[in-house]
Amino acid sequence: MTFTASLSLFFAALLLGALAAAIAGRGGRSLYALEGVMLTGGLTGVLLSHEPAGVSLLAAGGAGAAAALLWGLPLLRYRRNQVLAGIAFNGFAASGAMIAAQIIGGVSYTRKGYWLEIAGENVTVFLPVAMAALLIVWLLVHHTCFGLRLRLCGQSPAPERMGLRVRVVRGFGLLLAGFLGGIGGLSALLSLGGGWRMAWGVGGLGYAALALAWAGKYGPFRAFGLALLLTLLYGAAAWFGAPESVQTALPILAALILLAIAGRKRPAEERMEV
Amino acid sequence: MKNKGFRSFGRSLLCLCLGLLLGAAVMIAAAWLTLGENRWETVWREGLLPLFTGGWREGPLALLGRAAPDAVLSLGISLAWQGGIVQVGGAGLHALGAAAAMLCASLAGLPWYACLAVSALAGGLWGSVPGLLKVKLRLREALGTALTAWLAIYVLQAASTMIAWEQPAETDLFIPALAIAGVLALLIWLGVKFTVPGLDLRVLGVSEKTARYAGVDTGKTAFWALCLSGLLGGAAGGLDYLLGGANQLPDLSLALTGPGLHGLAAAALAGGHPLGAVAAAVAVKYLSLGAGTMNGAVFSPEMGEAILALILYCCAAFALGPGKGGRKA
Repeated sequence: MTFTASLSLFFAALLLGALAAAIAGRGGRSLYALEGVMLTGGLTGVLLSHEPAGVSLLAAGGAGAAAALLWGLPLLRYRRNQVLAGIAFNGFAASGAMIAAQIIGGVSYTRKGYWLEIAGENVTVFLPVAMAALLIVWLLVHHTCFGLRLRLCGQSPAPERMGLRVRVVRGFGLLLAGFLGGIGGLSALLSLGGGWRMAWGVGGLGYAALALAWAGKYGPFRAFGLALLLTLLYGAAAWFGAPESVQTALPILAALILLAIAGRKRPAEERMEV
Repeated sequence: MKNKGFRSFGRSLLCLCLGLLLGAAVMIAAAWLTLGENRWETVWREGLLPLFTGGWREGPLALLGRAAPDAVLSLGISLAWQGGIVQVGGAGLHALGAAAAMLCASLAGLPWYACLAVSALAGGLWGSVPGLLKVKLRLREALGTALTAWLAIYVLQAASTMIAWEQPAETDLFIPALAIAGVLALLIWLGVKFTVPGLDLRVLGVSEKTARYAGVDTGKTAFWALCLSGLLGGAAGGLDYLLGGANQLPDLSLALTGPGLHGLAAAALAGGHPLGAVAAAVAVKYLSLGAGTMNGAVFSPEMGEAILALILYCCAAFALGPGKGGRKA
């Protein structure tokens, strides 16, 4: 895999993950299970990587959406501890991926189908998908009735009195978040090196993406800028020949610093104490 | 059952049973997909029976001794939990503690108690990082502790090419380990229940605004809670190494499953109660050891981790309160 290909896959994974966390956050739920959602979607997509890219992407998105709903439905109904449920889901996804890999006798995949030729350059299909997702999320959340409903329901359960079905709207937000997270997970798994093992999940990229969404106050374009910054760091580490662990650890460190810097101003959802 | 303790115990038991039931369903599904015939019998003989009886294989002393590191880790998580702080970086603290103990034992040749002290110190220092960021910059501790855990494990993985892992010379430390876990549990329970800092911590756990209104220095309390939690997490890793449990330099596979998940599951089952955390850690270790005795050709060695994750999920989704720790906000 070339240097730019690896960078673009990494960037797409971070951006799609951050957009997923932003949508779930707008719906009043912090997607702590993003690591598990990305792994579930990624594994499903990787298993179908020999099929056409569209099928693999849709399958990854579908599996991610199902995983997000599996994590979130009891929380929507009972309003329980979403942090621990997220950590548990991530653990289950990692062990489940190992169990699945044993059942099917190992995971083999190819990156061949995921490239487009644009102006004579080979570009990964995830890059236009991530940019389209960025625009769609921005339009959907900020410029449509559904977006307004999602933000209302994310702030407080009070819109129930206006006749809105709060749980349904929040659930739909989770579904959308899971879909994007699943595709991001596929991009993340494809960006990782050959020595990667399924038990490693997506290497903490889910947590880094969640941190980006929070640091960007759930704004899609802010998430885009921060994802770009982290990708540049990743690229710089690779350029200087740092070991693979250090390459992936650097963006996580940067995400932690960004999260800490952004900590003073918190997104509206939290200030309302839903 | 009007008694709060009984109610909480009943809820935890229910979550444990529900998690086991879901785990059994996963095992049946795995067997259904891989085996041609005698599926039910195989699930029972090669899966469920070893899961429920395998923990006794080495005897009760070994079980309790091996559960000591998980108990110490879950004590650390429970301590932070009392203050409404979600410490989910147990995996990183454990890994760091184990590596520190290994370096002390192999390079400096220090006795086991000195290694344990160094590993606790390493964990405490690392645990203070999210604590400091939380106090100074209002970092959200749940994600902060998770990210620091990933960082710790990444650093150790990068160091794996430079450090050769060596086993401890003496691993027969079950009784001291058990005593350490018991004494720590008692001290934490007494400290949280009967001292002023303990009361501060509990008030912080109910609500940060209430605590501030009552004159509690919330930043300082949260910082020390995370520090002590890190200290106990590091000690748990050191103890695990000294007992022969941590037998390789930590890698990324420990970030999502492994000791961090075990400690969280035990703390969640106990609802953050320090004495309950020790009992729950023994139950978790019993299941984990039992899962290790299942037939690996039929059931993946990860099946035990999946079952523990399901138990933790059931606790989080159906038994514990929303938001801060396990308490109702």
